[in-house]
Amino acid sequence: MTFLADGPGASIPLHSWWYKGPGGSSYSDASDFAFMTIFWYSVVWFVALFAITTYFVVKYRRKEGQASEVSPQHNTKIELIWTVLPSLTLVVMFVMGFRGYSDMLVPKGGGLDCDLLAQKWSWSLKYPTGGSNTESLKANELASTTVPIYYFPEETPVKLRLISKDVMHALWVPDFRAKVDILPNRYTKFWFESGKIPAGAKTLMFADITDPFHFLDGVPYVDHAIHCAEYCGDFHSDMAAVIRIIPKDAFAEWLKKGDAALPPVQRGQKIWETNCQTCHSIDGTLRTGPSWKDLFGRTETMTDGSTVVVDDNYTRESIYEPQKRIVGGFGGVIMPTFAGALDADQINALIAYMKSISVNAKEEPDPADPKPDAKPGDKPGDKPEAKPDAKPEAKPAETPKAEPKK
Amino acid sequence: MTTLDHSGHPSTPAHGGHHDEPYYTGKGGVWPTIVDWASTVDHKKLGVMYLTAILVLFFLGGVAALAVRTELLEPVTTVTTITASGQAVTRTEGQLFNPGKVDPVTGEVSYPADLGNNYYNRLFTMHGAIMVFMVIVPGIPASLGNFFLPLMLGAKDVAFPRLNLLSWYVYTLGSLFGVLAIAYHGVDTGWTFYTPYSTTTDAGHWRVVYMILAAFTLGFSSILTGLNFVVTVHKLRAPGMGWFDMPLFCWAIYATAIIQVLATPVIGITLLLLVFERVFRVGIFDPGLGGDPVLYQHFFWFYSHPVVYVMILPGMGVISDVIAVHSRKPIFGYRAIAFASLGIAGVAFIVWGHHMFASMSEMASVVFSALTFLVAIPTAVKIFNWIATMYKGSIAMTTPMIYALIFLFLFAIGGLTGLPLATLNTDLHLHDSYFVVAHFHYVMFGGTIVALLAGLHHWWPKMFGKMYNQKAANIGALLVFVGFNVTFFTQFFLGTQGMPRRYASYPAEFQIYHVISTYGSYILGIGFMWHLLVFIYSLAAGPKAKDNPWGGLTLEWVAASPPTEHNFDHEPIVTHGPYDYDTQVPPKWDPKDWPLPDPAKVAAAHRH
Repeated sequence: MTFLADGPGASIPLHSWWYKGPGGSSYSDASDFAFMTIFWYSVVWFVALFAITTYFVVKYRRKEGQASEVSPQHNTKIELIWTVLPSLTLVVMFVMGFRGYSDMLVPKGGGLDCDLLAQKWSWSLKYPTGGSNTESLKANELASTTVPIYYFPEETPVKLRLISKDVMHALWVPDFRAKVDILPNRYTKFWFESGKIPAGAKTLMFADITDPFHFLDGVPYVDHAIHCAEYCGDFHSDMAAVIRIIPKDAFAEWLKKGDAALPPVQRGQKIWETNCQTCHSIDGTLRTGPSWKDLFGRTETMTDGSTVVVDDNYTRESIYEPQKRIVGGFGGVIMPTFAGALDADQINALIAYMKSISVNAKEEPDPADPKPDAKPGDKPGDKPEAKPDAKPEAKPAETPKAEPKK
Repeated sequence: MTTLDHSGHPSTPAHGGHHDEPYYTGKGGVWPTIVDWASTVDHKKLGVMYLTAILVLFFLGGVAALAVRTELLEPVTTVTTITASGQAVTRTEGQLFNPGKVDPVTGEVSYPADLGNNYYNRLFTMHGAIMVFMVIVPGIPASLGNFFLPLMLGAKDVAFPRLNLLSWYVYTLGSLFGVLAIAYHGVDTGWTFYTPYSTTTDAGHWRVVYMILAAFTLGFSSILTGLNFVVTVHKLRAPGMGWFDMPLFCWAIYATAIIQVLATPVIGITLLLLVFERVFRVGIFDPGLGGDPVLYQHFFWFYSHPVVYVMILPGMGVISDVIAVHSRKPIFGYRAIAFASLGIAGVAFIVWGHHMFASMSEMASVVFSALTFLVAIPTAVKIFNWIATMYKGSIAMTTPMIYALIFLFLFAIGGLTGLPLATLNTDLHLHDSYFVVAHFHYVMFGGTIVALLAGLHHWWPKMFGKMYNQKAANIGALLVFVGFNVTFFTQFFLGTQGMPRRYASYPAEFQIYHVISTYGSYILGIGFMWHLLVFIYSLAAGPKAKDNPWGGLTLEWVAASPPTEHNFDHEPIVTHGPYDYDTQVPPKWDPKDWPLPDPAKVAAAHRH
């Protein structure tokens, strides 16, 4: 099989004008080859047509008092030639596209089967082990939002089963030269097999020495951007993620540890970064939904006028049935349900994280609670593991950073 | 020698009275004139009224486009700073338009990124919806088509003049719905109204329904005009004008009208279903209600792909006529061009699936890819024939001819960049990227709008009886050409490198391309304003135009400039083809000023 740099597509002249570099999947070079072939084919046609046009315009420019010369008004032979010959070249193009398309459709056996769920405006990936991503990356130097990083092994077929929670989305990995629409009512599929990580690739370095993924330090990696390519609303352009290709053995070890290895607060923060942060800030800034700063434990007035304490159950309900009770001032906001996307453990981690950033998250019963003897611990869904992290801390917990260093 | 003289009458008889006056002559006083125009059934007045309405909407859509480009000068970023008191303050940067939001608790105003993004989404929807439904689709057929189809056929008017007036009012009503939607804060669905986004966004507001109704109503105007033109071409050709004696502009309008009549009802039904789903929650497209969003895309593109050819075919017709007249040559391969128009109109109906390679079944994608390549063939045939027409011509670099050459240049790029979009594996990379944005602007703008400019400059003397300053107009053409290419050629590179369309923000690495593109759009905007000034100056102080300034052989040049209310004093009789430059002296020209080639050479050449 051919792979990126050694494929013929990337070595065609002017490839670097069109692409940032060779593609990263098993089928990307065929796409580049087809594109660059069509490009040069078009250049030849275009230059030929405009050389002739320019020649005519100059040679046959109007001279006053002189009639245009006589020439035939039609020529069936010429019409046939310039109808049939270009048509034959189109057949070549179609076949080239069809063959490349077949390779993009039919995944190779083995490898990883993952689920990717899209919703306004985030992605959530589930690995075969049930784990999800554990890290996120700043989209750029200035951005406050971060994008999730999905680790995948090099030279391994990865099959994604895609579905949307709400409107249509599309998964585009420009480096793989591939895209597929994500529909709310049926699965679509996307597969890729990454090429070999080139020698001299950047290596991972975790800044925080206590980071549970410190074992990945020094591992080479290649990043590929993911964009949503089907218009989906306000944060359509922020619906990004990164596919990070690492060596097979490093990936196996990473998958074994999984995100379950993190303490609940840190895990909750990861979940917030990938699922919640586009709409819910943690510093008091108003986004589409209420900020989580000091939210947990606070008494809020709902759109219908009733008051509710933001406790474990209200949090859980708001994640699974967001439209049931909405905080006043956010009436028109349509938050999608996360039922099926976040399991009970993940909700617990989120609650732990919310408590960690709220001064209102107190252990004693809330005065607004009508039942004075009800304790938070009695409520279903309030796992004891969340308690140690529920200290009133205004500052978000420091998290491991995956900022690569050279 | 001219077409008129066969009836034995002089070509401009001095009847006296209002028959000699230009069609636009006022009726004594402001109000009677307004009432006269508002109730007119004259195809020429209606053509001018359409042109005015279309130019006003083009201005609106253009302002939205410049706003979109300006917004994209900088990527949107959010910067968090810690104040002296330790408070974290987040600020959104790189957004021009952000209405802000009041915190329900503290009453403080903040400017979160989503509000600015939402504004951007409304702007690009406004640009797309106005330009497609209100400008490019009706553009050439309704303005130039209305004015010149009857004139070129030698008719007094279209077949159903009152229906024509109704079409204009329906068009205006539809446009008002659109403006109403914009006045109510605009819609953020994109001009394609993809479900289930379009049936769920802005819940509780009517503005999305207004915009859908606008497209629905405009569709009726399109159907009525198309019907009118089909009947006009069939029934009102002057005596002696067979099908293959029609100017190619009429062929193009005829092919366009057929598509309008056949395809537009489909979008009408689709949009109505969309309104039913949105308002009455009837499940058709929304999976939440048991529908299928891909069904919507099939319905939508079954109309909206053929309509691409409604946009481009009239432009091709204009170019055929402009090249022949300004090269003073018979069009090469008349029948090939005429049949290519019909061929494009036919193929147009079986390629809609190429908008959905990323969501359709694999087999359907393969079939639609193969069918899509078919469109390239008649299109290429037309370009070859146009260039062949110039061979051995007498080519004058007039403003219309310069615009025709610009059309060939831009449309060739638009056509060639369609090839990697029809090719399956490359399309899956380029689909919904800036490459597509650049491609369809080269076709829609480089094709339709440039052809409209070519036609407007070609027929302006006939429409208003005034010449414009050609040197000044050529400067406008240069500005438009440079501005357009700077704006959109950069977007091809953005697309291949990974920039998705309809993005309010983007990774910083793309900024340089966006900056170049935005400055290009400013040049383009200046070019249009320049043209507007040239036209206004022409109306106010331009020299009187001759009846046949370019030496055209078709019947509109027989009429006066500007034409009288009834177009011709006597029904013209056609004795020669529309482009017989080898044997004919054009109407209103003195044979002394018009040398003809040696008849022996002509006879020899035509023996082929």
